[in-house]
Amino acid sequence: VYDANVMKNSSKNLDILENGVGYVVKTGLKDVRTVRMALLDLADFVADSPAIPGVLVLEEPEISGERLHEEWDWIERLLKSSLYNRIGMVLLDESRQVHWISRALPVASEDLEEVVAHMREKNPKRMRRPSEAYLEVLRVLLVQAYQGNKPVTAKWLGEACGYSHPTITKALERLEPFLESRTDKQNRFRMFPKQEWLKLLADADTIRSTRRYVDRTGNPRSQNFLLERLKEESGARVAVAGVLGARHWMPDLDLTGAPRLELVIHEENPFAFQKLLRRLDPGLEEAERGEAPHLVLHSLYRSNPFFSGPDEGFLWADPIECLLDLYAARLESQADDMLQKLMEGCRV
Amino acid sequence: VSDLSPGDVFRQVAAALPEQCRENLLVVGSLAAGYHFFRDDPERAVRTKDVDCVLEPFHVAADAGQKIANQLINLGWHHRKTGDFCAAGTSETPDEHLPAIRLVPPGTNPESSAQWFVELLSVPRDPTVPGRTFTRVVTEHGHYGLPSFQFLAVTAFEAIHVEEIGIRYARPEMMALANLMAHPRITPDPIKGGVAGREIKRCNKDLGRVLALAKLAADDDYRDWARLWERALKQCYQDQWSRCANDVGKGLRELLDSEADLEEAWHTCDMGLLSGTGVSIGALKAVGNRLVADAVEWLEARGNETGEIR
Repeated sequence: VYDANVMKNSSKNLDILENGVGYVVKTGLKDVRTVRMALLDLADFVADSPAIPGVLVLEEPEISGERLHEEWDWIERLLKSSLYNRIGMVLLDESRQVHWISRALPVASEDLEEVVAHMREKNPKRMRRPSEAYLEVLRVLLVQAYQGNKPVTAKWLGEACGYSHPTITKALERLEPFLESRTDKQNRFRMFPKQEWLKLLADADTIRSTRRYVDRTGNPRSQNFLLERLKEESGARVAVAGVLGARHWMPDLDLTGAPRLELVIHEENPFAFQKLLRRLDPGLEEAERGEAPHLVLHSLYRSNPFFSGPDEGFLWADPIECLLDLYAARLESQADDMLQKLMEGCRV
Repeated sequence: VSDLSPGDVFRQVAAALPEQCRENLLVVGSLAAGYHFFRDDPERAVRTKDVDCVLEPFHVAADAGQKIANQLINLGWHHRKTGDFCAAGTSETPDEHLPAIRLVPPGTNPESSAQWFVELLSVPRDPTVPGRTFTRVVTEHGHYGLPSFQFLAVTAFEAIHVEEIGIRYARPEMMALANLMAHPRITPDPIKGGVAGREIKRCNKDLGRVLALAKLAADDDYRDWARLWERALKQCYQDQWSRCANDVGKGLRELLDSEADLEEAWHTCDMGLLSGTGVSIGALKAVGNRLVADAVEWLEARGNETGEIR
């Protein structure tokens, strides 16, 4: 539980206090110096807060386990045992397994996940996991396939996705079985990557920071009203997705009405969600599990959002975003029609 | 507290008024709100006992109050005989100690605290002067006072005229504005007698009324309210309007941030204008959030544009 007093009294770079433990969370870390700095910050914090242990959580670090153990040995040599016994370093791998680099502290893995989720909510872009890079590359390549665009280079993908060249290379290696083999290092699908697509569907909410909102006032604002409000947000990088977006890409799609409005936000600012929500309808509340939402907001963190338009006064999310929304809304038959077009685009 | 049919009470009051005073009177408060929202629904009643009638403009209020009181009494209405100040004052009574004109309809018991009554009020002489003032009215039965509150001035702005009855009532948007302006912060002053057995802060009841009006209006876009508010503030407060605009949302924001105060506000709504609707605290808060984001922030921005907000 976040304790404002403890946080205020500590000048250290602590990210969060949860259930009496102070945490620093780092995602996709590549640099051992940052590990050292974080451990020293934690040591400084526990020295000032004798009743509170501290844990450094490394989510999918791009540093080997061996190297991390060396860093832990270094901190043990540096600190008094009364300090290093009260701090810990733990690794969360791609399959969400917990590996303690230090001696294990009595911290539940659910607490670790909760802390990471909280941090992700605060700063979703910084908390993008390396394992998500390939899903981002997958999405961009699928957009290219759907739209029948030319093959693209790794450099182009790096610029579009906002990932480094090694990360893109790793993602392309993973997608290699489905990519056309070309001598000019240009990439496009030769076949639809079915398993990867299913993984994307399963992880879509997480990687898009999806938030669902319901109206509990008894006077829901209509979709048209929300769209008119959206039109007034000049300069906002927000695109229409969902059923309306799908119909934009496939006008003959068998869809009447839209069960909910879905929008994609392409903003650096982690508070863009709240700002947009406040402009559209501050009366909306976050939906409980199973509640039918009135409005759904997704985030895009890649450099190029592939929005199209403005058309009819709106930006439009790419067809893959819209397709993901159709499946999430359980509009299976319409989604399958759109998927069919995507699969055709993937065949060279 | 009685369950009143707004249409019936409107007609009864209007029929008793002197013809020449009708244009000077407007009904405010829950009965006005009830008439606005439920007049076509015979099943809906308003739970209230006071029918607040504001006299305007100020320079004719005392004269109109005198004529109305005299005529109503001649038609069999009686001064209410419960609570403080139930006896008429004299020429010696200081203005602030004068009883208000509170009249119960013919054939009813003036000593019953549950009986509904008409209370006459006045718009203020100077809407920029804070607090409550009294204007002396000398009737055939003694000296009375017309209470006035600073922000009653806005209730008269573009009041709605009921053609078939011949009287006016305050717009819900304007009643909301008056209540918002009256409470720029949450204060502990309780309502005398409480609400349905509970001690309730006056500001929570009045700010709860704002939420109830907004809920009943069910408007998609409360910026229409703010546009009206801006014109009313400019008319009533002239060069001070932007300072007023800056204060409009302060109390409401405080209410929405306080669970305990919001719960009290909800209680008054559930026992009053929103009774029987099953409204939840969450729904009321959501409506309040819409009102703040749409109307209050719009008005504040307009005030800021003038560069006069300090």
